[in-house]
Amino acid sequence: MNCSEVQSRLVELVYDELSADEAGALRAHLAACEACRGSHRELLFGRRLLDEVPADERPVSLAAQPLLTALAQRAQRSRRRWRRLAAAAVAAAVAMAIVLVAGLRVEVRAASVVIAWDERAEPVAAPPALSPPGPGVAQFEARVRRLEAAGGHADEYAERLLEHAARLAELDRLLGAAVRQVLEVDARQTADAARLSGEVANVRRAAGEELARLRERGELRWRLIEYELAQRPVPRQVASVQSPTPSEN
Amino acid sequence: MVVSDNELMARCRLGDTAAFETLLDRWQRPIARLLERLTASGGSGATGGRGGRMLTPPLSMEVEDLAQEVFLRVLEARERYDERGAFSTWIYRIALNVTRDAARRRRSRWRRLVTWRPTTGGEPASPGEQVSRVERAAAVNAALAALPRKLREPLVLRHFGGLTFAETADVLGTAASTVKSRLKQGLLRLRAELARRGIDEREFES
Ligand SMILES: [Zn+2]
Repeated sequence: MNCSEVQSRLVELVYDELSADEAGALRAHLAACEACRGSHRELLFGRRLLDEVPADERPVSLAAQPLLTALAQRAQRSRRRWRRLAAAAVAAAVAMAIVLVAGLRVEVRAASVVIAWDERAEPVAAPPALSPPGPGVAQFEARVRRLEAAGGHADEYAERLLEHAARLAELDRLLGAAVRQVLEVDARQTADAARLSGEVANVRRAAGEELARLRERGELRWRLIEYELAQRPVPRQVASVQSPTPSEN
Repeated sequence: MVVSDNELMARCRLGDTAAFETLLDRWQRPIARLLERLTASGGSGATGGRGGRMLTPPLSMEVEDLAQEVFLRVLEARERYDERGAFSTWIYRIALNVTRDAARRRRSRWRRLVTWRPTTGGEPASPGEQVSRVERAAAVNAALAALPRKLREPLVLRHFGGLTFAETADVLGTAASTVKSRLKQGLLRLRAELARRGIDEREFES
């Protein structure tokens, strides 16, 4: 056995993991080799130090029952986590449907659902399309109910979404009413305007007729005056009076 | 007669709480001892010298938490337990993983505390001065805690878990030759650490 072989197996000697024969061969080498003996002494010193460390006598007081309880709680936590994930996935799909139908923005976040009204959205064309509840909301509700029936998958998350869906239906209804109102007012105003413009035209026409009549009458009057003036001698200063133009009023 | 660990695990799998209680009684002390050595933190090795015993952090609470985690994992994995293997190797592997997970969690939070540890009593003992066994053990603990995890784990499993090379290699998931070379390096590093604290081979000559 040469030095490098011995060096590679010294730790086995130190930990008594060699057969008697192998240990004997190593010891024979150590007896003759100062360098390897030194290495052996160093390793043995380390081992003896560690062996000398007294056992930790501090008592440990774990009991089975609390551990079993903790285990059950942990299993429940992980089940709940799965259920929440499943509900979130359903919620995300449902939210997208609502966005497509109602023109709303719905964000499903880790701990909340945000429903926002997009104010830049085009106004909805006609009130009938908005009559509550919209098809998206109805679909969503139906789906959540199906899930509930299938195995209680809709827990608090889905419940919150249901609340939001109800709120959504309410908003839907309000918007429908508002649009209807606007259209009604518009229609009323159009009719009023038509009526008023007709009235104005009538008044105008009447005024024109009246004016023509007045003119005619003024003309006759003037002719009458001319005639009367022609019948009698007119003083010079009176003859210079200008003929009056009929008033526009 | 004593029921084997594997037999207890089999009963445990069938829902026998008493079997689990027996396993717990049998193993919580050795597991806690192992956890204590595996998790003791020595920072950069700047811990004090012969007063080292006082600097050993009071890990008892943490060790108990870790021990609880080990037995919870035992319960969780009882369906997958393979009774052809040795229970000791299996539970030590779980304990090792628990300490590694805990170290990962603690690393960022505790690094500063560890580097802050005061270095009181750092005066090396003058050569030849006799050091008491208790003080020496405390110094060994501190030196062990100062070793890198890679070198500490095999030493702890070998000395405080009582495992053979082959079993240690099994728990660590490495080759037996790797375990041997790390044990050797670990012993030499330990010796060097203690020499810095004034403890050397002469201690054993008296
Ligand atoms: Zn040699």
